[in-house]
Amino acid sequence: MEEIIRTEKISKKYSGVLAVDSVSLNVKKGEIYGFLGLNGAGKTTTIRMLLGMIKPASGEAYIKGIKVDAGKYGIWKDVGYMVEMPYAYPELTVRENLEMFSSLRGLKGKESVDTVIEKLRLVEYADRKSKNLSLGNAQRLGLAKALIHNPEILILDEPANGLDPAGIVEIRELLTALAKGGTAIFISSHILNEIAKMADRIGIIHEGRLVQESDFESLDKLRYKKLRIGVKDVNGAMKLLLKSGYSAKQEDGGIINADNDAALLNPEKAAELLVKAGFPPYMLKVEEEGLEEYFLRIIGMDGKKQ
Amino acid sequence: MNSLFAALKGEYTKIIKSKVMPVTFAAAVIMPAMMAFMMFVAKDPALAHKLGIIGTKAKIIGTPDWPSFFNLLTQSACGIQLVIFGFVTSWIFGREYSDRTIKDLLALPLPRHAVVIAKIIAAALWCAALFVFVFAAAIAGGAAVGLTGWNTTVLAENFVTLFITSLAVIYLNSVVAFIACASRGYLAAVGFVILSAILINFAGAIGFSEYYPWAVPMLFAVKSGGIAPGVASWVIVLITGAAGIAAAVGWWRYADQA
Repeated sequence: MEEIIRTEKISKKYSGVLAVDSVSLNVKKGEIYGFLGLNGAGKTTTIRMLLGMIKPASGEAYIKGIKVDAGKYGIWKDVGYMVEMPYAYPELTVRENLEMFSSLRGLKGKESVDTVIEKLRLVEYADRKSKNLSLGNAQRLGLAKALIHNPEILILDEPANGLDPAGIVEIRELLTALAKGGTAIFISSHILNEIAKMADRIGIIHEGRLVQESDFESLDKLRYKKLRIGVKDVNGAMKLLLKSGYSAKQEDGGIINADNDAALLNPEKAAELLVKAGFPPYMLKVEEEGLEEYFLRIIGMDGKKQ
Repeated sequence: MNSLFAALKGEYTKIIKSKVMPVTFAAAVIMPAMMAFMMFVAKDPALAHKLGIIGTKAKIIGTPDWPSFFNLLTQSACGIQLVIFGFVTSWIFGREYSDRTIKDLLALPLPRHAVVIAKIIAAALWCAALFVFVFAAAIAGGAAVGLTGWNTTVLAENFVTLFITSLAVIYLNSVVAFIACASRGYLAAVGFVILSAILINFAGAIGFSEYYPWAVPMLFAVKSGGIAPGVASWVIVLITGAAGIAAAVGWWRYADQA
């Protein structure tokens, strides 16, 4: 599939500190790429380099095969973007803000403005000054500016910020539909669960480095799983399980965990063994690591507070 | 050209909808209003006596007629132009950073310099409108006071002088534009405007008025101490303004917009 967005070992240093360290990634046509990281991980810096707002210290970014450079403004014709919080001209209404960007993007007529206002459900607020918008509606206005020209490429920084649950679902459906129509979407977030619902691939950035990149099928395999067993005689059951080749460990509260293949693939056999030996389990459950836990484990922050 | 027109249209919308525009017109009208009031006081010695200091100052103006009024306008307008025009330019450039809207202007399918040039043109037109407004307000004020000795030649001479000083101040404001961009807001730029105005007196005190770009328009208007700016002075103005434009355009094109 055609690579629409590509970075090659892109880095950025601020006052001697590497904000982004040799990040290489690519987004294909019709793909949603989720770019995950904690606050300050380097997501926005990467996005700014992708948009030519800051120059990389080393490496390059490409949009549709053209090297990103502030002087090559033609490439932005097909790109819609939203960086950080969506700010708009406070004294202008939603419609006036959009009309201005429609004009700056060289769009003719008012159709594009009307369409995007409707698409982002801003009809009710079209004549409201942007300074009087709620955070959610300001976010919608930011997205409307990004979408006004039906771009082939969307680069969005935390687009779900400030949206209510219904708004999040709505934007997710909108982005999914756009990707199905061939739009390449690069979306950053610190909320893995939200990204998981729409992204085809994810990249995890931590302290400026891309620590993992995978599609969701691979991600499922990478997530830690364990069989949790609850029995009354924990010590007896532990001895039996270890003797039978299970990687049994006792966790706080007396629950036994086993994470080897024998336990995970055939938990019923472990149950049968325990019952026959007189240790009937009152709980037997295969638990999969949550996405947030997985994310924190990958960036080495599991069990640690941010 | 279409890019520049689109950027200009955008600037027009932002300016016309802002509260800053009427504020600058209100601030600009204070000076001709005060001058008209002083002329009114000068015309009536009894009232001048009652008003104490204002009365004393009003007497300094001399004859309350149109030629004196225009001379006073020309002397006062330069400083006011420097401050108000500087504020206008600071706001036009600095507000993109203060309102954090700059990022929306950086990845558009038009050259960044089109936005910068559009802003410079918008600032120039706004300042030109302020100049015409102040001059018209001064004439209206003088007429309301009932000044005598109307002289079209004096009016034309003062208009041309003030028009040239306005153009020079507007041109020099490109430096203010650059400072607003480089400092990412309008506060430092406004500070620079005030400092550049203060330094006019200092440059005069050490005898370097002719070589201090911000003093040149004032020297031209007032011809203080019989010093009139020569070619070298205007070349300095020309180079300073050009450097300001190049720096502002260069900043948008090459600097990291973090």
